Amino acid sequence: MQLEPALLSYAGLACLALTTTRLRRDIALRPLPPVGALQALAVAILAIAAWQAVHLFGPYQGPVAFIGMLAGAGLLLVLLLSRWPQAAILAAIGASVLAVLALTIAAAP
Amino acid sequence: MSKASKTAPKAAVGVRQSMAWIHGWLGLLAGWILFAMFLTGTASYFRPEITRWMQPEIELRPVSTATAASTAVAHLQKLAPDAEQWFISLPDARTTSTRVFIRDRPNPDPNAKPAPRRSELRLNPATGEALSARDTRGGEHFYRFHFQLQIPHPWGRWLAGLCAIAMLTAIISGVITHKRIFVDFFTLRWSKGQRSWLDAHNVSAVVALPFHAMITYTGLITLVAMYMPWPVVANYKDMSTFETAVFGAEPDAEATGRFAALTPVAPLIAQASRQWDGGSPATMVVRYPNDAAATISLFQNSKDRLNARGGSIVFSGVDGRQLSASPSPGPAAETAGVMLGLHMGNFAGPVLRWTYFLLGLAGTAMVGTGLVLWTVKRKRPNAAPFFGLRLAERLNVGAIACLPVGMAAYLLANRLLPVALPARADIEVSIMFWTWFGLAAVACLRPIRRAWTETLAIGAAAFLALPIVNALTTTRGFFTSLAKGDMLFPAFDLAMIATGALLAFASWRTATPSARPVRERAATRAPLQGAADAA
Repeated sequence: MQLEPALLSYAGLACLALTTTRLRRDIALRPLPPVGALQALAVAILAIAAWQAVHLFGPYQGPVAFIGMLAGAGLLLVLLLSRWPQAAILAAIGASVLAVLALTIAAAP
Repeated sequence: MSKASKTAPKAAVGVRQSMAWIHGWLGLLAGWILFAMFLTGTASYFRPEITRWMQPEIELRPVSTATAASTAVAHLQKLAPDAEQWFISLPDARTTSTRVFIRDRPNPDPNAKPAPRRSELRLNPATGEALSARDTRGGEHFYRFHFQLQIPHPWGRWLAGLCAIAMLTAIISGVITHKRIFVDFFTLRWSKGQRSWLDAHNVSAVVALPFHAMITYTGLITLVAMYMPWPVVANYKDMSTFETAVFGAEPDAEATGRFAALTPVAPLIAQASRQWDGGSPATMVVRYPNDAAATISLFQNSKDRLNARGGSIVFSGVDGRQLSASPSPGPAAETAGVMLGLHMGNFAGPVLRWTYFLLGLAGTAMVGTGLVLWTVKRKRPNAAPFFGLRLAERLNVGAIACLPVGMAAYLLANRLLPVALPARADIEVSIMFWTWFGLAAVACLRPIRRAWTETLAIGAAAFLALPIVNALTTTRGFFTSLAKGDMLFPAFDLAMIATGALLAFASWRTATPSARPVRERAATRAPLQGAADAA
């Protein structure tokens, strides 16, 4: 599907957004995981996104794809957060589920 | 110690302030042209698709490169067997027709008038028959305008280069000016006047910063040999010597005048593909066809490779022997090719091309919000705006709201002008500029806020009209195309509807500044508002 790096980037950046003071205070979702855990999760998800980009697009286009999709996902996330913060975070959960599904299907023999 | 601690913050403030000054003024002066360069450049990521949309008569099924090359050669053998050169641009998944240029041999009589240049032909790759379609510049127009600005050569490219330098300077000075890059990374607040414009400018710039820096730098570097020719001038006799040294182009042999039948081209393409690990040629140049000195050169396409400049192989046109091949590029040529490739994104498949497109839109938004921010920042309540501010406001309307209308008019003209109109392609281009500048001039007659609302609304209407006009004037409307399994036209329609919706939203926002007043928002979304205020 080739969109896994974008979906994972969205999820990873959403984790990072949830570590910011403003969003933690304003968002209605509770309970929120601790900041440290979210940061670690973000690093892990973004690392998988980068690996997926290289896996899907090859060693040369992979980094280009990762940086581009990271930026694209970031823009979408900020736009959604600015209007519908809860939905933006819930969409991140949806994006992770989709990405995991896609990875599982791709890995199936 | 106390002295040092007193001066250090002062120096830091000084640097930040001077950078802000550079950022504001360079950004403003180059901004209007940069906005047009960004927007038309972004559209150019779909250059072949726009061209195909603008020639709806041409509806082709993809065939193999070898078939397309063979049918083109068969057609040219009938049409111009004694030409000096056939330049054949081979089709791929995006450009479905074969394009050929014929260059006739010069008349041996020195007093004879030179033969008129033949125009480009489009061929059906399956049959080799010439295709007839409405005359248009297609997506090529946006692409050319993006770096030539419709100004005579070389001034357009020079102006584009100056603007790119201003852009690069604005990126660097902007990063230094921005105090809270990481803290404000996810911050975008609506309906808060100047604060919102600053947020929008920051977010569109910072989140896609790697793209903006890359696209500006590679754009500048693409034309660097033109902007700074001196290293080449100092080290090489002339430009062609330089090109031979860097790209390995062979000097052309002369025709012998002895007839020799041209070898079939399909086996040569298969051989080239093997040498390029499955790559395929984008272009085939046949020099002196049917002469004993005939050569056939194949140039690799840049699909799936970051380096936009592929290799080339020259074959004998008589027996198909390989005469030479371009050497593997040196580090400098490779770097230049990759920079060009990164800028144009020709390597990108659909997913990456859309990513490029969206990031290009983010760049356009960054320039646009920056331009608006400059004026919003200088507006004083209850004070008449000074001349410079009024001028900047009018130019903002002209660039940001009126250019999209011009682009839509270009596409509408393609559908509404009579198909057989003489000089049709030029008229389409003129219509774009007359609409763009004409609307910008007319908008000056309206109060500034009304000017924004009305021009944006006209833009929305023009883009939303495109799918309808297309359905009424061609046989390739949304549902007809969908039923035939042709995805290009429905996708184009959806993109036009999305653009129209975006412009309609912008028009609505400018029309109703108090539709969502701060207090009302505070009542409905108390927690968010409180946080924003606290920040």
